[in-house]
Amino acid sequence: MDSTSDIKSKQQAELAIKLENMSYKYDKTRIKPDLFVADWQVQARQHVFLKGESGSGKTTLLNLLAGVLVPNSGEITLLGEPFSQLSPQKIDAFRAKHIGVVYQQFNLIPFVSVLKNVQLAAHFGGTCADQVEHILADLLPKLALSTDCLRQAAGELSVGQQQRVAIARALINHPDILLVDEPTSALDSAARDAFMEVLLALCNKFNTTLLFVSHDPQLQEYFKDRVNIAELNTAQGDAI
Amino acid sequence: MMFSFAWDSIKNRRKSVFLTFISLVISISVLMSVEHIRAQAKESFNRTVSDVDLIVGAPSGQLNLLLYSVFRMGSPTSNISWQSFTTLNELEQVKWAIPISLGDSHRGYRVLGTSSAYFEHFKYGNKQALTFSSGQAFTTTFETVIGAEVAKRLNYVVGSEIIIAHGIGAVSFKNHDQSPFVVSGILASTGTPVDKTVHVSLAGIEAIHLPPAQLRAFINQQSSTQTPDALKPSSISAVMLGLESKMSVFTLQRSINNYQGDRLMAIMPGVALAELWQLMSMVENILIIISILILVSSLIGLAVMLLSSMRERRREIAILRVIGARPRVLFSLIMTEALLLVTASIVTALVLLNVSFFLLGGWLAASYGLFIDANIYTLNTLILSIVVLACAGLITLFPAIDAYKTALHSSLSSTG
Repeated sequence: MDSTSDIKSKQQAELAIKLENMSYKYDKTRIKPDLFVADWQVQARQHVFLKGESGSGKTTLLNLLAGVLVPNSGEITLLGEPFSQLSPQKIDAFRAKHIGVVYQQFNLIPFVSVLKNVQLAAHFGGTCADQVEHILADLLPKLALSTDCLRQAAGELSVGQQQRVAIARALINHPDILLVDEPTSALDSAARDAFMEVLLALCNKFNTTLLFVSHDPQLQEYFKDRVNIAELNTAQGDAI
Repeated sequence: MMFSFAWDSIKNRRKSVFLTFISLVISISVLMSVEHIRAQAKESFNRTVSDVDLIVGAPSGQLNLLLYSVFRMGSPTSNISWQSFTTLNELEQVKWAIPISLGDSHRGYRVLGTSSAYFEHFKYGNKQALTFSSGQAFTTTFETVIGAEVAKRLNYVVGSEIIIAHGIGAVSFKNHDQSPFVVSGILASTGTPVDKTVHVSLAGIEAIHLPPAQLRAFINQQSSTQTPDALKPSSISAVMLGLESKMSVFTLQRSINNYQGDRLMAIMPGVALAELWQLMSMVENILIIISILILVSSLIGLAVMLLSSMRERRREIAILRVIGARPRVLFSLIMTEALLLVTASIVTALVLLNVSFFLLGGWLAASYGLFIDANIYTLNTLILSIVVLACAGLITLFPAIDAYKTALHSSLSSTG
């Protein structure tokens, strides 16, 4: 289950994600868990491709890692913090500060401006609102977005643009961990390639640990580290 | 930050929000205007008479005496003798006495026979004395002082000649043609029944009731020097008394009621006013209940609007959760939104009422004799606003708790 790279020096580096005997079930009355991970570790700054068909439990895993769901047993340790043991308030604060999330779609609140969307994330993550525009001025060109779009309502942008804004938003607090769930499913192949390159470059630049979830085998070309959720989840029977 | 986000969210759902806003503005306006008119009516009611310690008339009910002596409504059942008035006037506890004689009218306005003491001692509002906007008090039998409204409605100025009719109808069969009165003064507006009164001297009242032949003789003889008290009245309707000491009110009232020389009844205007207002409290309470019901229904409308928006806001809530908003933040987001809306409604309603009372004030005063102050920013209104806000906060608990629960259970599923 260990998906650490084979480079020896990296094994000494701190762990970004560590799961131990973690189980989760949607229906608490059931005996068998829907998701069980015995032991899984992701190094800091590692980029991991998490492959899985829809219904294999990958979104559940992301929810657990983001702290929106809490495991029924076992432990999740993020950046050395006993994440699954924290109080709900601390989990929310931790997520705001250390974890960025990009979904398949619907990442942005459509009726507020792009700038406001990012400012909201900065607000919860403790980044000064004045700095947001400054950081965005640097970030947007890298994402092939013009700064003109800042004043536009997020809903007016194309899906591809929205996905790139979602990355900018996810990175605004310089998160240590970036969770990305099928971000390219609404993009054509040319846009997808551009998106992937920008994403990986930015993660390298910010030293961000990247967990990239997709069912698309074509995308795994971008990653050295690949994990199949079916191998990770050792829960007996049907997973979610 | 969350405040401006709440505002953006409101703008996004502007249609349903706008309708809710309109319903809130209407209900708050109704509530506030009912409350304001009530307070103003009570105030203008209580300001009709001031500084008068006792009103003395023939025994009837105290309300009846108050109504005809102060409000010029109804008529005296019987009169008291002039002798009683002089007796009262000479009592040592009595500082001043105003005789009142009623029963005649001029084009629908009541005619009040009195003495010069009336202009000197009668007070209204907060012990405000009567003042003349032009002219002066009557000095001869056929002079008259008219209230502000009489002058305005009938276009009278100092020097106008008016005819006083016997009886109190607007049209009288028996006009006292031979006794024209000349307007000697016009009183400044008081917002009380005084504005609708035609004041003449007691001698004037007596003169118009003389048989025509005697009257003509009197008018001819009167061309020489003559004082208004020349024709002594035999009886009057009531007396208003001001006392040297407020402490003696009760004892004097008792001794007047037990007076053997004439059948008299003394009332305290404050007590009688309170009793009269009690009669009206029924209407007052019904109005308040109706406006509270209207407010409650529109507050429920507000809660329904917020609750039904919760479905379309699931995604918004999920996104906010993911970027680190606590469920508590979402709770306060809904609260902020509702209170923002209600505050805006209150402000709009107040401005609306202020403007409409300002514009309609003249019409209300002219048609209904209601003197409504356009300034509605009173302590009462402030308390009412806070109560409305508190009720809104209370009822918004439902959608806010809903948002809190949605937030707790929202997950990162990509369908949001």
